[in-house]
Amino acid sequence: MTNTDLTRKLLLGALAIVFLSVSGKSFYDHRHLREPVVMGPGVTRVTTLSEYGPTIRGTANDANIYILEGKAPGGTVFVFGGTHAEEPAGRLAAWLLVEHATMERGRLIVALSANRSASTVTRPSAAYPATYTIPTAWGGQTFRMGDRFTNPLDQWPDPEVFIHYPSGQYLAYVDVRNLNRAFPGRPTGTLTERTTYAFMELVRREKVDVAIDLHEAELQYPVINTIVTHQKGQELATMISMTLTDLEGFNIGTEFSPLNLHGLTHREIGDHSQAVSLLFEAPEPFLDATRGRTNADVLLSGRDEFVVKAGRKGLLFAPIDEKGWPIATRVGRHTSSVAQTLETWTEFNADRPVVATNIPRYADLVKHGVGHFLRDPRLASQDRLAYE
Amino acid sequence: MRFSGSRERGRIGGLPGTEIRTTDMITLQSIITLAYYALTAGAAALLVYNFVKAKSWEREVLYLIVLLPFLLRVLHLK
Repeated sequence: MTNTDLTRKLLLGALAIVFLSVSGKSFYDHRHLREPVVMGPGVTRVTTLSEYGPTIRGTANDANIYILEGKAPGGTVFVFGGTHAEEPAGRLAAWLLVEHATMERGRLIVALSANRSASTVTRPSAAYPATYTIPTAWGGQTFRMGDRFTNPLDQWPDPEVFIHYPSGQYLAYVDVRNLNRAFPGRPTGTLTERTTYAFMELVRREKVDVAIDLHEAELQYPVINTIVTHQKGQELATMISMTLTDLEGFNIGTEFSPLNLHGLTHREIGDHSQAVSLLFEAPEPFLDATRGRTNADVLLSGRDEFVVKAGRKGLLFAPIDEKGWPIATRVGRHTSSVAQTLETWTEFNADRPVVATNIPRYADLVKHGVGHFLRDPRLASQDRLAYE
Repeated sequence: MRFSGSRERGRIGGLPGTEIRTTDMITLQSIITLAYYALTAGAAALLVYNFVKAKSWEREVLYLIVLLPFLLRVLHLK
C-alpha cells in the first residue's frame, strides 16, 4: 500500500466516522430525549408500570404511572395515551390531564407513554420527523415522535405470523409489536405482551371502573371520530357521544368492539377485567397514505393538500378542508371526551363517582392552543417534575 | 410443533398438538437476536477488511457506505 493509498483510506475512514457519529447521535438523541412533565396539584403519587408487571422492570416500557386521588372516595378511571406513539394527540391529552386535572372524588390514573419503546423510534422508510415542538409562551416543548410498533431494538425478530395469546387468532406478523394487538398479554411473553400484562394487572389491582385508550387515525380508516366500546360500556359510550355532540360542538360516534377481533384494548380489557373499556379515535391526516411531505408541520397543523383532494374524491371517512385538523382540535376532542366520560360515569354510578376539575376542554384548546396548557418545567420544583 | 420446558402455553389457532411454550419462544427469539448481532458484527468486520484491501477509491467508498448501517446496528443505535 502506497502512502497515497493510505492517506486516502484514512481520509475516507474519517469521513465515514463523521457520518456514523452524526447519524448515530441523531438516533441516540431521539431514543433518549427526556420529556419533562410538570405534575399538577392533582397528582398524589407516581409509580412505574413495573409495580404491576415486574418482568418489564429495567426495560424501555417501564412507563410512569400518575395517580390523581380525590379527597373523597369513589370510582377509578384509567386513561392512557401513547399506545400508538405516532398518534401524538393521545399522549398530549393525557399530558394535560397530569398537568392540570384535580380530583374531588374518586381516582384518575394516567399513563402518557403506554408503549414507551414505540416512542423511541419512527416508522422505517416513512421519513417521519424524529421530534415535534409545541410552541408555548415560554419557548416550546419538544416531544419524541414515535411509531405504531415497539422499537425493534427492544423486541426482535418478528414471527412469520403473530399468534395472539390467549385466543390463538392469527394476526399480521408486525402486530407482534403492536401494543393494541397484544392485550391481555402474559408475564413471560414478548416485551409488548409483558407490557400489556402489566397494564391488565394495573386495571385489575386498582379496581379500575373505566379504561380509556386514546388514539388517532388516518382519515381513510373507517374507525374515526368515534368511541369504540366494549359491550359492557354501550350505554355509557352512547350517552357520552350524544352529550359531546350536543354540548361541545364536535361530532363523535359510537361503535361496538367486535367480539372476535382480539388483542385490542376495547375488547380484551373488558373481557379480562372488571373494567369497561373505551377507545377514542381522533383524525390525524399525517397518517394518511395519500399525504404529501411528511413533516412536523403536517403532524401539528393536520393540513395536507393531497388529503384534502382525497376528501373531494369521496375517499375519506372524516371531513377535511384547507384548515386541516390542528393538534389543538384533536387534543381537545380527547380531553373533552375524557371529561365527559367522568361526568357520565358519575351520573350512571352514583356509588362510585369520579369527579374532576380543571380539565382543559375542547373549546379551551381550540381557543388557546395546546402550548397554552403546557407548564414550564423550569418553574417547577424538582419533586413535581417527572420525565417520560 | 412442540417445544419443551416452560410454564405457559398457547395453541396455534386452537389446534391440538400445536402447543408452543412461551418461554421457549422467547428463548428462541433471544438466540436469533444474538445470532443476528453476531452475523452483523461479522459482516461489518468483513466490510472493514475489504475496505482495507480495496485498490480503488470507488470500492472504498462503496464498502464504507454499506458498512454504516451495519455499525449502527451493532452499536444498538438503529
